[in-house]
Amino acid sequence: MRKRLLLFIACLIIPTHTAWSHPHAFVECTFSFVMDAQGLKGFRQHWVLDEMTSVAVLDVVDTNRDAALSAAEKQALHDLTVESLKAFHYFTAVRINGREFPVQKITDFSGQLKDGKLIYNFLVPCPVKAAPGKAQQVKVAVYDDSFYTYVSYVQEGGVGIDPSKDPLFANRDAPAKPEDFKRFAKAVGIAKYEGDIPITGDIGKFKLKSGMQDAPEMAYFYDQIIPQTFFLQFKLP
Amino acid sequence: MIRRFTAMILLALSVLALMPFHQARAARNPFISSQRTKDAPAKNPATGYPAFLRHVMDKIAVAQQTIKQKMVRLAHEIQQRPFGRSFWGFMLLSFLYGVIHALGPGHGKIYTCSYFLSRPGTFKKGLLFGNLTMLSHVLSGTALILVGAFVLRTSGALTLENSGVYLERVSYGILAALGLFLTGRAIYEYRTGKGHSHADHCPQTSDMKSLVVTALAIGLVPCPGAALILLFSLTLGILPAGLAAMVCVASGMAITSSLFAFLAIRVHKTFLTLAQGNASLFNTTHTLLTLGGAMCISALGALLLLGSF
Repeated sequence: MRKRLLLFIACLIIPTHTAWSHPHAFVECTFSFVMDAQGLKGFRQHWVLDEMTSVAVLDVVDTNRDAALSAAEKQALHDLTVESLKAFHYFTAVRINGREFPVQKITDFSGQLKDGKLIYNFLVPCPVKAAPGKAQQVKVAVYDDSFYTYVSYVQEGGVGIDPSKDPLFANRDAPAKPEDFKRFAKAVGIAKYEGDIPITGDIGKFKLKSGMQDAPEMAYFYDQIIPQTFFLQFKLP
Repeated sequence: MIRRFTAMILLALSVLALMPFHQARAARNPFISSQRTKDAPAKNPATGYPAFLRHVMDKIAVAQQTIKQKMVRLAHEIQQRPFGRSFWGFMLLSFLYGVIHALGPGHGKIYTCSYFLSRPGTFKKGLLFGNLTMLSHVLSGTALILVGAFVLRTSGALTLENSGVYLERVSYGILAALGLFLTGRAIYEYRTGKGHSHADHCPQTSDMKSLVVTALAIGLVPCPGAALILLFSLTLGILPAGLAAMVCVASGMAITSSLFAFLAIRVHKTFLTLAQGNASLFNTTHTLLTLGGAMCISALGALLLLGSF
């Protein structure tokens, strides 16, 4: 009896717990810190939306349905994005010296359409003044806490996910293998981010240290997902 | 007796701990909708899951993205040759997408489990339930996209976002009422001694009417994942392939949903088997399951209904 009971429990655990990942939308995010004369100015983000999500957004803003964005449609995209993502804090979670900084706005937004994918570019203002003798620490993660969207980080210069980077892209003769997903994820860059963390602006003024850090204290979606954060420490020399 | 009792408590605890409660919310597209779901699970203190599950979850996320990427590629090929090899590839991927997609939060798995935990069911009924819920779930999204695009001549995505809320409310309302009805019936059965008169045998299985109503009420909430694929097909001008893909997505989701129904049916059976041979324990177990499941359906429906305003 006990064996059967254990089997049931195992059966219950497996399907229910694999059941959390449910993203409908996919964003490739390229992230950089921006400094000014005082210290940190904010974060520049470059998002590439997947084609299906792009279609859903275009369906709203591309009113003449010519698969291109006119000036008016770009404005509509700006308004829609600024308005819609506000409740989601623009997917940007910030800790300044360990304290939460709720993102309320973005500036400098521009949207464009390239190869059927929408590309968003914007700045998240987050001013943190450098203090003499004190190192300021900022941690930033980009994720959708409702998990409607799966955000992956990609290196600057890359145009987000490109399935053709897969060595077996469009190769119909390649046999399907269990490791296909792993290979694809690696090839197109969905893995733990190990790329550069660009810092732009007035960087000469400060002593800077940056890196990627896992942040268990920022775990989201029922505390199951521990985000990888962009970490920056800066102080006046 | 003590061992049996311990086994039952263990099983009850594991069921409670593992019920897919996390899906008690409807997905809203953050890119086009300013209303965010109120009970979005940003913070939930009562959790803490082993690390390996996160990897599994990440893998599923990647799997969905991979499937979608491949579908996009095939969709472009279908534009050139509507019924070539790509069409069948598109159908296969839609099916796979459905299977994986239904594993995610939402899609009424909590109701499916509650329903079959509360009433004894047969595997046939589990299969029927799984298929009915997912067919109507996909059909609801399909209908909204098509009505939006062809009847209202507006954005299909926005129609889905806006009208979806009302369909959700109707669904939650029906489920809350249905749960109350099932609760009332369970109490009536308990008071009159019906439903467990043959104490050592399985009582009557869940009746067809409540099964169909529950399944359809769950499925009323449109499935955003399926709708996205249809919307994409519509935009690329391959609507027939998109509609055929909806059937495949629904079939795939039905498999996953039926699996959950089967599990709940098995767990229900195990409870009663454990209690067999002891009439009063059997009756108590039966009543607790019936009442608990019915109240769970009712409470969830009511909570979600209130939360949707």
